[in-house]
Amino acid sequence: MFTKDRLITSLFLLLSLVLVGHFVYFCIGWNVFVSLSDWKGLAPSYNIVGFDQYLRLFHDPVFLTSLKNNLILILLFVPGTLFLGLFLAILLDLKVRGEGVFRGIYLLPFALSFVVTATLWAWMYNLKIGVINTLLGKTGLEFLKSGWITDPNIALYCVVLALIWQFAGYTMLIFLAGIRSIPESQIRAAEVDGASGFNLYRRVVIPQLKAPALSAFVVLMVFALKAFDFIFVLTDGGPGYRTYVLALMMFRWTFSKNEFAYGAAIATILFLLALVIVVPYLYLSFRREKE
Amino acid sequence: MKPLRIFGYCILILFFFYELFPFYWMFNTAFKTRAELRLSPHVTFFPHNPTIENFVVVLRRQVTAFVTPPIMNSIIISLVSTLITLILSVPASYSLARFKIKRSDNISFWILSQRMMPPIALAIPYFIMIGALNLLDTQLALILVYTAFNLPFAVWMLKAYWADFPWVLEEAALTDGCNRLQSFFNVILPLSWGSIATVTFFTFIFSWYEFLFALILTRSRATTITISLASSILETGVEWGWISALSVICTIPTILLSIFLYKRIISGLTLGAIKG
Repeated sequence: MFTKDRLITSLFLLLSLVLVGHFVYFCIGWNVFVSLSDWKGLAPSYNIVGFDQYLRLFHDPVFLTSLKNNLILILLFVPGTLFLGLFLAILLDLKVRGEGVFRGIYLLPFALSFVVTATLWAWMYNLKIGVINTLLGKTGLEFLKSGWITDPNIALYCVVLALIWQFAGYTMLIFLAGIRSIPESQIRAAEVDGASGFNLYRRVVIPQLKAPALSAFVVLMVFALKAFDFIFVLTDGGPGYRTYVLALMMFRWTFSKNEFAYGAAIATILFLLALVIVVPYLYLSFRREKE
Repeated sequence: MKPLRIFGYCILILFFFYELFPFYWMFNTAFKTRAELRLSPHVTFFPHNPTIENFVVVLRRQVTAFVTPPIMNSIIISLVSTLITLILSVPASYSLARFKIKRSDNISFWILSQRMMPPIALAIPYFIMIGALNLLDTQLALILVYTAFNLPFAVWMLKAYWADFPWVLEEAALTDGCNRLQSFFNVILPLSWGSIATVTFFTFIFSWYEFLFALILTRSRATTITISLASSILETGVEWGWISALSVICTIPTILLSIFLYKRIISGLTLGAIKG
């Protein structure tokens, strides 16, 4: 009986693996294949021309702008969210009253769809009737009024600000769980040794947060690379190409201009960038689990 | 220490408002009348004549402006793909957790790595595949894609939950003459409903919120709620009351489910992140 049950459940596992194998790994390979072709226009063409699309990419100013914007996202959004999350987690750890309420509210934005949060921010950033400009006008800070997401100089930073808003609660949660998993005895011992307040956190707590920091880091990095919905709805890459990112460019070039091979090349580059971040992390964490 | 504490509270309260404000603003806008929204720059912090007019208009538009109401599409697609995901992932992860499968770590590795891949890398192949199957702009297309996307995550999550399951209980049931299916329904399921509910939550919300594939694979018949929300910002432009009302509708399932599963969702979000 044991082996029969085992066989049946293993079939489900096999089915899942086949589905994932097809819908993920095979399709990624397929995408790479398309990127090596000259497919342009609605009719598929699998004429293999090699790395032409990739060579074209590195001379395309829109691609370079998008890549730069993704890098700016990585450089501002990732550390910003990590530090804010850590900061909030430490503050909440100071035996604060109403911790549960703070935690729930901080997490709230993370429970919303990117499309919803993007429309909310578009509404608040609105030049004429948005709440931010109206409040600035009311409080006599008229000179700070701005088009925000339509101002070419600050549009990308407005996007970053909104993204930090959405993810800060998540990193706070990860860090708080990490802090809470440190054995009480270690903290007591450090306190007996005279460490307190700031030093306690710097010497004892923060060094033990490597695992949660790393996993939050990877999640944020991957998000900064694949960001699409939020930017598509909030700015659609504008003004001009100021907030274009790789995923958005890929979508526009593929599904509006029908440059399938070119779009596939952008997608492949995004995939490779994500791979560089994810694979070492997963490898490390699975090896650690085995030990 | 005292002033430092007060300072800490100030910061916490500051961020409390930062994180809450847009959410509050969504509700504030959704219940305002059109006239009140046009009053700017005299912004009001509470609706003077609270009204559900925006919700009525938005729901009516869902019926009149689309072949099938996007809300209905979203409900059907999310429910069906969640159900299929569960039917496949429960036995699969049971088999991973219960039987000594060679290289089960490697299997989990491949399964999990998928979740982190940029979905845009799959856009073209899905578009071709769904087109070749003649499924463009059908609910089935999104059901298929969402199931394939959720399945790995569901298997990994359930396997993680079942790693610490007291399997002795099942052994006992088996020795008492239950077959494996009976012992599963009588012993394992009652003890794991919370884990399964959490997995259900995450897969349902993923499908409910998904945007990219819905954008590529649907046109007018099978559009989902997120697409209708995004397109309403382009079409109506200034009707922020309608847009906010639709945002509220889009958010309600998550908030309701989160209240019931709050603790489990939190442990689900931190799953695998703390160990080290």
